[in-house]
Amino acid sequence: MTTEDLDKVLSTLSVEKTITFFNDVSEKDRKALAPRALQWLEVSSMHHTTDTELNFYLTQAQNKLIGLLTTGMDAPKRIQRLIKQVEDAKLQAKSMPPQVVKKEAIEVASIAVMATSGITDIKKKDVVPLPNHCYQIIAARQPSWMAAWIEWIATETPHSHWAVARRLECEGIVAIEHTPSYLSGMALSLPGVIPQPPNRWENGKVVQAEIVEGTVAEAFLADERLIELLWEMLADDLSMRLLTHEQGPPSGRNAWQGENISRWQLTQLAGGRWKRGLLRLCKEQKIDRLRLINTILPIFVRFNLEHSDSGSTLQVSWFTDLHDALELTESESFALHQDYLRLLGCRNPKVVLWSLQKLTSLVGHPDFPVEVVCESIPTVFLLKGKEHSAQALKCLKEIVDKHPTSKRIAAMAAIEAMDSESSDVQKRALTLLTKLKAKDDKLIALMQNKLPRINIQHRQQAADWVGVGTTSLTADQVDKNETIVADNVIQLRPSKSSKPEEEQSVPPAIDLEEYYRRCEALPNIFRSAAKLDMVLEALSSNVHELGALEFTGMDIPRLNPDKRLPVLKDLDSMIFFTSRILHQQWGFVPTAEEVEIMLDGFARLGAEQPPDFKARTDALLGIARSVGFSIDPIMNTTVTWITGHEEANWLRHFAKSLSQLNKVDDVVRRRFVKVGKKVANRESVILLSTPTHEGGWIDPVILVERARTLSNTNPGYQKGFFSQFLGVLGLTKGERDIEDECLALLRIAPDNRELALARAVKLPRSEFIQALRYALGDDDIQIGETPAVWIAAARARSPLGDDSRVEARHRGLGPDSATRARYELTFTTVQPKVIRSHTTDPKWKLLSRLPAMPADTRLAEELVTVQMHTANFHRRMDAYYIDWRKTITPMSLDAFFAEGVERIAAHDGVDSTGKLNTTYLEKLYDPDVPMTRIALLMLTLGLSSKQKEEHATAIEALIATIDDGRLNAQHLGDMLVELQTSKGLRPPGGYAQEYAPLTSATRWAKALKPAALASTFHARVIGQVIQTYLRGDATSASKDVHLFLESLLEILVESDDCIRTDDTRNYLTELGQLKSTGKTGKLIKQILALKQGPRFEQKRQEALQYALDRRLERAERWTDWQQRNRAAHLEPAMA
Amino acid sequence: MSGGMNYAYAYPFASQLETLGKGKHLSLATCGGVDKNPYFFQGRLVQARRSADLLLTVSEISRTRFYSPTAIREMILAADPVVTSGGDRLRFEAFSVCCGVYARVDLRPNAIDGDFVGRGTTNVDFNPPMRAALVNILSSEKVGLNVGADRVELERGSEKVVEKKVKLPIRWLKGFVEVQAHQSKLKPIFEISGEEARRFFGTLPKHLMTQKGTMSYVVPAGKGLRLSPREGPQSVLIGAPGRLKVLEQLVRYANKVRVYGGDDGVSGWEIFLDDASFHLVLSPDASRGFSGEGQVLSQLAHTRKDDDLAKVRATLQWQACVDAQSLATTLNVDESSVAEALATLGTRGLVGYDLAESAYFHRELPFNMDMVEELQPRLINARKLVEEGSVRITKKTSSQVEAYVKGTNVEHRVVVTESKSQCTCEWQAKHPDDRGACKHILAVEILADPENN
Repeated sequence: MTTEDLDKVLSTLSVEKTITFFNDVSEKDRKALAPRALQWLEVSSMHHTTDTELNFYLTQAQNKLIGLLTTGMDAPKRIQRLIKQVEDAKLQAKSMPPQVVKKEAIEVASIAVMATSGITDIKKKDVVPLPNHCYQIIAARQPSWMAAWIEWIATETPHSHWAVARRLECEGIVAIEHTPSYLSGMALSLPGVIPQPPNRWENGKVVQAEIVEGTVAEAFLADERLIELLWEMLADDLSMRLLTHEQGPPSGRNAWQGENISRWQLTQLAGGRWKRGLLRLCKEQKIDRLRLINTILPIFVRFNLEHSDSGSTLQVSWFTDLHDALELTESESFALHQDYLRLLGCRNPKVVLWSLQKLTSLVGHPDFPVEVVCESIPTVFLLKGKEHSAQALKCLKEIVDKHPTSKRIAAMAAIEAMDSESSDVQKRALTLLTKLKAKDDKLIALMQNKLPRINIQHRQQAADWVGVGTTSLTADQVDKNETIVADNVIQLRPSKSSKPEEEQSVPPAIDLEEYYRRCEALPNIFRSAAKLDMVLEALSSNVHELGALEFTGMDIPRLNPDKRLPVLKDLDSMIFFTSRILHQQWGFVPTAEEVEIMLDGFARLGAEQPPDFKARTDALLGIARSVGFSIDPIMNTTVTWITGHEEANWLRHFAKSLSQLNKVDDVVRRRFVKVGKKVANRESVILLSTPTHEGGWIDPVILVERARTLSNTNPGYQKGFFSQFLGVLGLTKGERDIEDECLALLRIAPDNRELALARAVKLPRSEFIQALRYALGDDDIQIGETPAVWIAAARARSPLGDDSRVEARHRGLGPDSATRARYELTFTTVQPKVIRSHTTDPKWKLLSRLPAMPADTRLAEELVTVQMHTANFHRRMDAYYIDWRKTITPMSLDAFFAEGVERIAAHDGVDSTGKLNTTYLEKLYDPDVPMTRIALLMLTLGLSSKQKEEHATAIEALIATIDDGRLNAQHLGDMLVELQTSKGLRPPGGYAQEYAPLTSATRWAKALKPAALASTFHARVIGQVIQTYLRGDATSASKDVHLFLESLLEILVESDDCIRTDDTRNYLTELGQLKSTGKTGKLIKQILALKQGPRFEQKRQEALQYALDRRLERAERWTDWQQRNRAAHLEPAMA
Repeated sequence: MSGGMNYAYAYPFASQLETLGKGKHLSLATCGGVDKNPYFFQGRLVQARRSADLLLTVSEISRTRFYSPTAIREMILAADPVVTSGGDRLRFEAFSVCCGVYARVDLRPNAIDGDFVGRGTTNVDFNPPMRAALVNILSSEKVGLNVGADRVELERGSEKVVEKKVKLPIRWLKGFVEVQAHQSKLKPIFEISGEEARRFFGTLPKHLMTQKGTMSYVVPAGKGLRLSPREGPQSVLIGAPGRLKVLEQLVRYANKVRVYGGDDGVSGWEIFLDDASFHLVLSPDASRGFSGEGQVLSQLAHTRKDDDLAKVRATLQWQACVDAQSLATTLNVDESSVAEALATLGTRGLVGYDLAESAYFHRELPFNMDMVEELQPRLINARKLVEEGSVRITKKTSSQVEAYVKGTNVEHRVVVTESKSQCTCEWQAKHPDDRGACKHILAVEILADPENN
């Protein structure tokens, strides 16, 4: 036999001929042919698998070119590898018969490899011909490695090839050890879920194959010898886990990717068929029913106790359904009660519920272990959810009914139900306790300790049971009396007090002197901005509510001296910084600050070329090239910097793709392009707009210094005819970067402006310097001709105001030009657009802007503040850009927040979108960001969001804004009402309807609850928010209004307070008339019955002191920042 | 590095909870340590139900993978907890299968009424039937406790040795010992009452994340704590907070709970009970086992004198708390040397760290720990780089060393200064500050260390 003979038979592409060809070939000849067979397989596979897979990846990559920038996919590396493999295969194919590239060649080549190679190559190349072909080859060849091969296919393709192993075993060709892999092969194979043939890539798509069905029972009926194997299989963990999804879909090598049925689907189908099959076999008495019961349940117990938190619903139902379907008699069930009991110790609520149901059904048995069950039940109440807890209480009730002597121990277990998070469970437990009439000192003490955790609605009932008879027992009161027993009744105020003032407890004295002393050390401006006097006055008077802080952001320092951005000082710092960013490019999003630091580093250090430059940067070049995607600006700028020439036409590529995205995002890439060009020419450049501090801020004094340097080196920034003349003649390189100028102006911090202006006055009067002076507050300036620069100056000068002088010169350029943007809530549907195969999200806009956009929509690129209002949203909008956008105009974030409003409102159910949107909400964590109306709107929508990341971030932002005094409770309450009643928030119909409603009272109520727990001050503010919300027309109240009422009742009781506004009281009275029964009615009655209590004053002081501490801390911080920022720029002698 | 060591537990009998008259008796089988099957304790559990829950939780952690990359899933089988008898208390320690969670129960004298008949550390058998039986213990029951059995009893009793073979990956063992280095850096941040702890655990979201990369902060909320996505001025970072759920069952016994935090993302939780305590230490992320944190690599890279180490080791006598200060006085060495020696002994499995006492305690892990020290892959690779001449130092001053070290297809730039070491390799880029130096930096440190030359 020669390789030519092999080529000849394989070229026929006939499976039969190929198998027959090997029938009489000796093992020695087979081995000689193995390399050629492997070559056939390699080349044909490359053509039909890798090539099509590569096309698939390339198409995907093309479609998601932009998204790939930061989505963390490692597709580029995969693509590079595939390209190389395909090229190699094409090269090899030239020296082989032409049939090698045909699709059928893969199977015949696989057969050839199987018939010639050793087990190592078969495993390495993953050679698995179709089952029937495998059988013929193995039966004919009977290689020494048969057992190893069977073990291998049992792991790799058990569903399709286990039958081959079984047939070989039954025919006595091979003796097989029944390993876990073999048994799991049986588990997956017998149900007959066999994909035939394994799917292939074709034209970039997966070819779906047929699924051949079979049944477990039929397999057993056909081969009764399998029954012994069945018991082995049922005792095998791996098999059982596969069938019951205990492990979930595996990943990695054994995931069976690329087949038309996933492992997950396979196990799901197989599990179901096994269940039905086993039942049928029991019914037909082919297998021992009792043996099956006694085998299955202990496995279930073990699985749940071993991995008590990871059992899936499917796993549970597989076992429980099978167990229930076996219809156990009472005595059979009772024999298993120990197993049911053990299941109470696991943490899967569904399992616990099932075992409780089983135990409940056995309560009547005379030997029922009452004591053990009662002692085991309390852990059940710690699990989330209520079904299992309700069942536990039902079980206790049954126990008491059937075993009356067990009242006390049942009562003790029922008291533990107070640990349940469910109000309903607590209520049921209290009802049971009342019925039991079992009470002693120990039980009372136990219940007393539970009182703080009992829902406020039922606390009264619990207190009655204890015997303390209170309507407002608070957590504090109980905390202080943890050891109290029945005879030491807690002193309680009467539920209705006619003279509450007389009964006020005396709160502990607060050292106001110390507070006054600290306040006096502060500058008046900060003392006033933090509204410290208001809190101090409230502490010494009878004021109930505090106003929120109101500041514009211009009146406080914004430069945090501890958050100054590092400057890359030398080549090594540049190398290590860039290396860090590039290594993490996939799956990592650099922050806006990191991007700016790199840009600045490239710009300043790009011209440096020490003698060992190549050696130092060699590793970095390797890293940059291995990142491997030509559109990445950071990678390309790095390569350009190191090699000195523009890499891979990236500038041209950028130029093409620019303007197809949102222009605001283009700014970042344009800046890389500009810097890249300089770097390629080994020129250094000074960027005006590099932030000096975190948040995108530029210290104005440093900006003036940069302008001074530019004026000295760049004729574009020099005043004077001669300089400009030289520049025009090209004798000097003078050019302005308008975009950089605009960004620099927009990022000017309010700190040190006077000092900066005094220094700027001495600079040459170029247009930029004039605009800079105007931005810094100089009135004696004539507005210049470049609209973008002057609009940026106007925004920097007065971020929240309109600039009539600039408007007069550069009229009608849209929102946030010379005139500040105004927003109105209107609902407009927007049709999706397609940009470079990217579809913008189907969405609506919630806001309309004023002034309107100019008629000519082709806005200048440099008008970034106006461009902020033209954003197109992509589903995978890069976090990279969102983060950067908040640094464009750090002084006025309304445009950024407005974008956040529209993105949060357009929730599309995609989790990744929610994660990106948190970037908007997280900006509210900054205590110095003013809480404007648009910020409040975004927060309110976030609190109502379905997406958990958005929702959680919004709650955190709510806590933060209350903590630092920025949240105005009245405004938030009004906003809730406005959004709930606004018709502007209702989609008119069509596709938008599926997302409606955009707001949800339920989610609001659920969001307010955790915020109220943060401190007594938070509780007060949330109380005010709810009271503001509960006003107006009671007939339009939300169906979930009881959730707000629950929180309000809890807050009022904890603070010994009552409803203080007539509007709310009237609303509740009216609502109480409409809903006099049920939960809402009951809550309203409880709330309206509340009066101010003796601990009110103490709670009020506690809250005010908390607020005062926070406000004082921030006023002191402002003072510290101001002093340090000023000191940083004073002449050394003065400092 | 995926090296592993075959380990066979050979218990003289299977641990069991048997019914004796009106009460029950828990017999824990032991294996390994100084003796083959040591006998440590004979007495009873004072609060049976609660002690059973503590032991079950430790056992659960030893069997749990909070994170399962495929390679590890195939490899690791659960290892049994280890128990240390110090003469006045029993400490049960376990390490999760994923190497990212460490747990310890201390049963102090009032929790176990009986006689300490021996001292030492050993493995203890926690087999499924025994665990299942522990679930059914009642509070009111009298439960005896034996840790090990005396020779006479063994000879008389069971004849069949219970064997369990597991493959203990080196990374698991390394994690078990490296966790001491992290614990010694933790500081107590919060302390809350039992009631507040129950409230905190009660408010944990139902689907709390255990996935890789999930982070939360524990921050104050009123008198208690809450989880927050935002870092606060006083907060403790919790990686994969879903792992905290293992404590849910135990907090109902808590008198108070103390939370420890550090700079490297590791957090510690201590549950105080009347006469016992439970410690849980979490790695910075679900996917980060303690083994890869490289806390001691730089120390190991430098040659050092072992005199102090030997002196300190000689003084260890199963103390529950090793007082570094008094040890320094006794041995006439400075306190920092004692601290360093204890830290090194920690990496060899010879001492554990007690967060509550802020001090080490003596225990000797019953495994062959030589492999742990030998198999520090980064250090081995660094030494290999030095041996192969792959390190080229281009500049060396008293405060800075600049060098080039051969990597895969490239030569990495390395700059080592007193305050910071930097390299252009991927490891250093991804973990610049928190997971020890890369092999290139270690190689430069080894070559530049005058002690090594």
